[in-house]
Amino acid sequence: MVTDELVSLDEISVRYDLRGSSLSRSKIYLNALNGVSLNILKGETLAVVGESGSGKSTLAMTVLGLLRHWKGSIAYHFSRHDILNNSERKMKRSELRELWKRSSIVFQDPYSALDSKKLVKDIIAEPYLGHGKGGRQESEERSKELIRQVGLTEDHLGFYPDQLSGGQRQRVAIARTLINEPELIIFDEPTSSLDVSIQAQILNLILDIKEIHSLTYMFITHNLVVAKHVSDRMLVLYLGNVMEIGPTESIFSGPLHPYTKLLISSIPVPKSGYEMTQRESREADVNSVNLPGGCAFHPRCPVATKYCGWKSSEVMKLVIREAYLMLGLENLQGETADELSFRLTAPDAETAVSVNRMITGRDSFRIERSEVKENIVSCTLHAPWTPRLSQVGDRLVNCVLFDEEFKMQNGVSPPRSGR
Amino acid sequence: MSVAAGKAVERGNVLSIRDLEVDFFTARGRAHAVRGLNLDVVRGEILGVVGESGSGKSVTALTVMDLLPPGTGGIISGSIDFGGKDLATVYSSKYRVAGRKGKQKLRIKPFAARRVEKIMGRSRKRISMIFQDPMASLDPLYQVDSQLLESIMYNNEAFMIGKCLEKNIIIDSQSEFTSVLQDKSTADILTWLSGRFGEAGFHREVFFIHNMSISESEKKIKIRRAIDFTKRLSSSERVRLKSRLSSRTGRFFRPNNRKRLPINRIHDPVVREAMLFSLELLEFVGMPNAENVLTSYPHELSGGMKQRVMVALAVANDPEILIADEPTTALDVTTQYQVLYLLKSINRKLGTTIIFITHDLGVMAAMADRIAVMYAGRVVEVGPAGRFFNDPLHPYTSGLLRSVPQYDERVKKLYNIPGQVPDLRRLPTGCAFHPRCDKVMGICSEKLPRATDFRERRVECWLYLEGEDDGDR
Repeated sequence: MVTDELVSLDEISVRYDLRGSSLSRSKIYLNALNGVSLNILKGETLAVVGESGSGKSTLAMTVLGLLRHWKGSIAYHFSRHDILNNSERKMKRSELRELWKRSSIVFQDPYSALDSKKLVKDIIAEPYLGHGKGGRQESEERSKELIRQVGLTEDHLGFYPDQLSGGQRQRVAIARTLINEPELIIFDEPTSSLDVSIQAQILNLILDIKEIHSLTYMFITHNLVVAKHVSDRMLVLYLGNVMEIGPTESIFSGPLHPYTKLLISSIPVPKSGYEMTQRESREADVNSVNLPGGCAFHPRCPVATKYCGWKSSEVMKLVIREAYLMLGLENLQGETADELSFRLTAPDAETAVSVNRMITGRDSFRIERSEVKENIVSCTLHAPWTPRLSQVGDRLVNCVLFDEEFKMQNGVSPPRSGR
Repeated sequence: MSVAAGKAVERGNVLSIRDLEVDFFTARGRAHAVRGLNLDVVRGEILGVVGESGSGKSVTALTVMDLLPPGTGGIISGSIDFGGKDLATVYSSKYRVAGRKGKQKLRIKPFAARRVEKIMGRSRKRISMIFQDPMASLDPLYQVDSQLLESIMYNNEAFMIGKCLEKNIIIDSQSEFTSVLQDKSTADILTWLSGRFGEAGFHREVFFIHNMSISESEKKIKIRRAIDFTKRLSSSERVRLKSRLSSRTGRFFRPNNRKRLPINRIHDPVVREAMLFSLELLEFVGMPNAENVLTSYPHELSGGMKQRVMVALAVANDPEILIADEPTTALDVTTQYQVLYLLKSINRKLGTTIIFITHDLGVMAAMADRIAVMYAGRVVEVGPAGRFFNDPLHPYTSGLLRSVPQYDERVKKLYNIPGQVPDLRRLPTGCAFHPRCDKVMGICSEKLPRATDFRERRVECWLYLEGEDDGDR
């Protein structure tokens, strides 16, 4: 494997405008990607995993130059041309054509990806003719060769897509991407709508094709077992942020980021004797529209620390609930002063002291310091720390627990408060 | 067959399907979706049904629910025994097969649906189903509470009595239950209830109870109040309720978009009780912020939350059987884990039998007690889940297991079953799997293998029938 970069992405940010109509004043944006930087190496398969809404497909669209509004820059190092795609400047038509010749995509749903009014041979030949690479004669020869490579027969060239099964359609889609001899192929969930036995066939085909044509893959999936099977490196996305990136083997043998750990432990293993354990359900109302401050994952994180970006309103609710559960206090009044501090009004000074004792006794409230004055407890939170990707062994991890800069400023890593 | 049926009762089967055949009548011919299916569902278990698309697993589920699209397909023969009632004859009385051979159609008999409703009565409500796509199965025009209320009110009688008792009696375990029984009139009510639902059923009826820390005397007072309430209900209020709710279509309660009224300000006591119950249901399925969810529209919820609402809807009537048709395929892996855990705890705590349909073998390992593998409309292997993964018998089962990427070991190349699921209109002769099988023998293409018991499982394959080739001709 050659370890040159084929594509390097630098600080890619994408946000979608969600304004309902041009008349509405309020500006609502969906932050699909927030400063994503990564390299795709020549000859590797990079798996991109994450939940829905994490920005996987947006990343694919950006790499293919299909988005209009985005920020950052992408450098492509194809064998004959280097292309730079910078959001500051519009790409030339010739550059775009070259990019689209050298890269291609296979979509999730093979039923909507193929034009049902065209014959298979026309579907496969269309990108070839469209890029003006040759005439009908050549395209037909190439189609015949490719249709055999993807495991179909020449007879299938005369079929319409609705005469084919899902697996066969996905084979046709793969053949179509190959006709311009691309260097980079992006697979956007290629097997998630297929059956188990067909999925195995397509995965084998995808890996075989890679050997034959010496391709580079970016493989988007939410199925971690599939990602593990196909990929060399893995990228974990969460709400448009890179959480962890590194060799697949080592991520699976020892995930570092709490989110990666959560993902990997959620995979049901097809073995007998697999048992599920109860897990605290922590569905937070987090999405790309109202991104939480600090680390994006902290509201759901099982080991979140006080540095992770808590808001005073969230913590106040937690303290009042805990005071009810632990001390039986029903009439504890709360009031937020600003983002990072709040005040609790207890009925008398004695209860205020016991509330304060409860707060200082446990780390999981994520309160930096608290004071009692008469019957008022005032609490201050730690300023949120936005973690940066830092190198840990062979991986990059985006978590305050592994943040070198945090360590330098504070002397130590934050204590892990398992809850 | 009679021997098998006798055995079935002994094991406590809640549903047993015998020789079921379901055909679809299409423009290009008759598709045999289910061909002679035999399946027993044991009370209290989670039965996993695995198979590729076109294997008939969803069609079987829809047939049991009588949800096959009208006029396109129907039961040709066989029986579905549920609580002593044969669902197959009831359902198939709705239509008849008509037309020349090769161009047959289903003719729906007039007033059929209403007649089925009448025959089925309550037993229809004892099976509920969760579908794959939660967005498609919730009505986008109504708030969550209206939809929950519809489901609860449909089953009004049992719900009301159970509910009012529940509200006022605080019983949590069997032991407390017996200590309370000293009050005679309470005993009557409770015996009646347990007679109606069975002891386990009664236990289920009073499951949703939180407040346990009250004294014995307080409990008795509450019981007294409960009985009074039920009595009052059984006279005037019950009549009013019935006249208000009943309608000829069988839809008792029409959902409407109420103003977002706090629950304690709802005027009608019955609706208020039902609302409180729906809130409890949502809390039971682990919905964070249940009160807000109650008044949201489905599009305001995330996929996992929608699926939780679906689960709440499905358990609202305390079903005996819950059919879950790929309930987590549309969900993320972390949400999937939580929904699976929820379904499993419903099975373990409430004793609801679950038929779990999936093609994900990992999910199967997490959920199922027993696994049935389906191929081309037949169950080819059925047995305990543990044996399934360690020692697959049918070549199709072992092929499926080998074709999923393994989590803990890396194989260079996945095994793949050659070919694809056959066209249901033109099925291969003999065993339908023989063109794809790697252990195919001469007999496979000639005759359908009969089911045999082998190593704790029931398998349909000639490999385990050696020397019996022409025994039963």
